[in-house]
Amino acid sequence: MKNTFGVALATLCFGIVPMLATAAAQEETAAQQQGPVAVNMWVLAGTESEWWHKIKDKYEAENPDVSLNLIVQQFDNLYETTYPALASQAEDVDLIWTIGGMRTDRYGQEGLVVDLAPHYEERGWSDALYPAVQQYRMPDGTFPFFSTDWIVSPVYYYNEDIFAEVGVEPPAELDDILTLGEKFKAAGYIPWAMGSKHPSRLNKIITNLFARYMTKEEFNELLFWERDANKSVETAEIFKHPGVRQAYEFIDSMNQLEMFPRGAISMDEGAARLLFTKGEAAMHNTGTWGIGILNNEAPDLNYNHFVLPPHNGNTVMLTGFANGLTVPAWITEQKLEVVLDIMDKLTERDYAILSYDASLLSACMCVTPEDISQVANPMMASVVEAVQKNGSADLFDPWASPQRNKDFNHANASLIAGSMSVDEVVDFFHEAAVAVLE
Amino acid sequence: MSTIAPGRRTRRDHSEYLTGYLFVLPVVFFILAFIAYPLVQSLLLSFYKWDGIGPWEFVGIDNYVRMFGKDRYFWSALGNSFKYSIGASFGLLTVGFALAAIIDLRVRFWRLYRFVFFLPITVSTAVVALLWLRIVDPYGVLNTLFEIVRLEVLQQDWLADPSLAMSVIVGIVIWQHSGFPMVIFLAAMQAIDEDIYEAAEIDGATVIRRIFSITIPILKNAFSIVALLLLISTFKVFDIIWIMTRGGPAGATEVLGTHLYQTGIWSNRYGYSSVIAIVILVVSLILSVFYTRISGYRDKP
Repeated sequence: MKNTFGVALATLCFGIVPMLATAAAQEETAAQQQGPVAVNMWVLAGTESEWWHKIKDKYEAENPDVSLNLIVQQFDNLYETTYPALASQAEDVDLIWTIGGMRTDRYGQEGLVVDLAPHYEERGWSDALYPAVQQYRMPDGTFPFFSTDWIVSPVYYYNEDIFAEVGVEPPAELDDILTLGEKFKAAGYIPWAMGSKHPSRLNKIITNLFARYMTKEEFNELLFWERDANKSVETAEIFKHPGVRQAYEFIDSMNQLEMFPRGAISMDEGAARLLFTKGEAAMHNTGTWGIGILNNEAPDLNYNHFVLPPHNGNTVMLTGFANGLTVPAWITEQKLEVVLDIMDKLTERDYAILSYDASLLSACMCVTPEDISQVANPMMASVVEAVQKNGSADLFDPWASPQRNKDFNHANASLIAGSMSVDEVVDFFHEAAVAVLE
Repeated sequence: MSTIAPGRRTRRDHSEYLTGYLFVLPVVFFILAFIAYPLVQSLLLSFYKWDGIGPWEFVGIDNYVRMFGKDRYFWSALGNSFKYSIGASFGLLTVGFALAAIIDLRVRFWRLYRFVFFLPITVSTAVVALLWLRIVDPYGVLNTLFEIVRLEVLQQDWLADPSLAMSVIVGIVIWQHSGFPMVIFLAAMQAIDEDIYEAAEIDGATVIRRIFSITIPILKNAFSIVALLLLISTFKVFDIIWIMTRGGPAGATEVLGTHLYQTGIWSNRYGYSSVIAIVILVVSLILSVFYTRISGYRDKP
């Protein structure tokens, strides 16, 4: 009896299981050769997923042998899902798109994602995409990230009715903003609806101000200081540049004038937007995506926008190519070809233009402002025009240390909260950089 | 006739012991897997540098040195944790006891009050936080109310003022959780012999006197237990602060829990954040021992 059982077990182990495995492998190979290629893609975003559904429909229609399976998740999962998934290499995912996708540097350092640097040259992406995309290249030359779209964060919206009532025009020079603030206060309006519970809203204004009070070269030196292999205490002096102090003095003046709403520093952006859409605030700052949101939430609102006015001839437009694609290192060659082909498509006008429906600005320069005014809100066209005319500088160093980012947030919030003076903030900002060297 | 020596275990005893062990086994497994293992893992990790993906890099006590000597936010976060923990625990004890004392007097509709006071505990902290965000918003319910009754002088930037934000959050926590100490105190009060109160009443003691001279001394152990639990649980706070202020404004409500989260999950410094976790653990342990000793909880009557 025992022998019979043993023979059966041995047959099972050494006979049937390998046979089944071989059959399965053959089936898989056959499927790879003949059947559709299924690419599983995570879209870590909210409304932006509509864009990817359009790309999927178009791409699948043109490539019947490819199936692009979209799995939409919340952005927060970037931290809680993507990192562990990539670390464990246990997820059946071939492509990841996310807002904030630039945080892929760690994946790149660990070899968990495909280095796309060679493809930027071979496939012509470097020429097709905005030059500032290159600022996302890692210090060692690798490029773990394909930029799909960009944000001009410092877009400033204004209520045309309030401006007409007070008899003022959008600011032509930087200092005009303070004059406007005084007039709106006198007329009983909140001049500037900023909600900076999430520190980025305030930080982007300040970063934008740095770019007004510094030359583009100085600004880039400050922005990318951390990735400089020769950075030192001496080079960290850039954080004490007079332009830094002037930028902080300007935002402090806005604060002293009470241009921001009460409690702006702890206010949700949604609450600040409500002040703007309800006609209680004259101006509001958010990203270009705000155009779509304002249209949806307040279709009757008579609003327009301006970009931060020049100062001393500095007009550079800040752009952040933060959204994009990452390819897990374990992707098969067959699927990688499909993924690279999708990226190629995103550098072509008829694909790139789809992004404008989702209020996203394509990273491809192939789309002209004229194109955009036909497919999306003309406001977007003027923003793109401003960038193409004035040139772009990155919004922030994507590879800056989280600690320094936190220090930056802390200094800015402390200034608005009144717990630090301009001098103390500038010192803190400088010390935060020096601390990176330790 | 066989006899069994005293203290000697029979087969039946062993069988019962075995059954007992089997019953305990799942709990032991649970404790080892979900408490002991993560604890040891955190302790080990605190001596390493790890970004969540790559290999662990041994750094000795560097993380500890950095935290105590170079972290700009650690000491203020530690101070804020104490402020929050002591403020919330004291408030909860006081309000919880007051509510229990009032209900114990069997005032009219006391059952309704007991239900209403306990109700906020059953609501998710996230919901409570969002509800109160609308109330304490600078343009929210509270400031609007002050405007209606012409008390604009009382209007405040409740969560944006660094000197106010922590007190506001502590107040909200007291509002939500007072029901917990209340039910414990109520249960303890109901165990007090009514004859003691009657005797005091005959001697002419007022209600206040009875509370201070009879109820509070008798409830000494209940106070110890509740205070201990509150101190430990509030010291680990994260959720309500993260939802309401994210540790702002300008770090005014940054506690160890939010500092740990930002350092670990957002900044991917898991080794360093483990050090903060260890500090929370150690402080909680010290609080436990310290409070148990000073309250005399171990003294049996």
